[in-house]
Amino acid sequence: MIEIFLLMLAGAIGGWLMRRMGFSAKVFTHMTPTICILLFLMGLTVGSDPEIITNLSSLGLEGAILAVAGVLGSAIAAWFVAKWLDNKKPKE
Amino acid sequence: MKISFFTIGSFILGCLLGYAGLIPDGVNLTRITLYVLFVLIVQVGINIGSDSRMAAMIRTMSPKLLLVPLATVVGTFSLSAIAAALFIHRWGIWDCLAASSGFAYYSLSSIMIAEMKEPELGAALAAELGTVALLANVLREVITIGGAPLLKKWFGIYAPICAGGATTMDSTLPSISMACGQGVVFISILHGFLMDLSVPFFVTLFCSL
Repeated sequence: MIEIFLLMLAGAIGGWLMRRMGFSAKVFTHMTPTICILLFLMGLTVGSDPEIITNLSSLGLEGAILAVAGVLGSAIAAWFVAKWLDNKKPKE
Repeated sequence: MKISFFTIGSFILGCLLGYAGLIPDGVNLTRITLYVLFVLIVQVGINIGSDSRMAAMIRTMSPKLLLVPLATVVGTFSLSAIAAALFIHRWGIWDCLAASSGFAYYSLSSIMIAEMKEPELGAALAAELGTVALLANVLREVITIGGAPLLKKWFGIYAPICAGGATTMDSTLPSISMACGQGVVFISILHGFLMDLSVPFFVTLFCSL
């Protein structure tokens, strides 16, 4: 986990230096292609694992139900938190 | 929407090519994936560093934002328990909550569940429950990466963070910062860190019930 922090710190220092020196950091910050490559690689890992693929039909539905429930449940709770924090903000 | 289509499409394409056996021998996917993740993290760092509003954002951060990880825990367990009671009859509710306790941290949670449930369920069933946990948490991560813009649109700025669970300090961080802006990067990292720590605790708790 420490390498994640160090890489982000290095990137942040690089970005800060670029801003200070007047360079645009835009060319480095287009993340969609990188995200697509990451998900493609994750897909390759899942697709090529015979254990996951064999069990996919019987266990996939249960996993999908729990995944959707987890995402939806936490998103609904997040909506309440956002509303609450918004109401706590001093009105202008 | 276009971005979600491309990201989810990339995952499906990867699954199909992996299934078709098109990966050359000797390719270490885990290592390559890790390096791509590192590239993403550096990009997130550059985004933060080059954003002139960042210092002001850090100054205005409030302890109330700790409510965000709390929302993740409460929301995940509440709806998972309801879904388990309604739709999943093969496993008990505690088993399903153990699977949900991965908060998208699929590697650790699935291994822990398969190990800890073995004395009670036997090796085969415990491995099946571990696989359910693996799939649930992989899907949670994929839904968050691909669906972050929609989650933000429908449920507000903290929804992609809560959906990302324990992964919001690494793999889902780039999509979250893209969907919600640089302002949420710090709460996203803090959230991921706290949720990461909670995974072994909740998995152990629900496996023992």
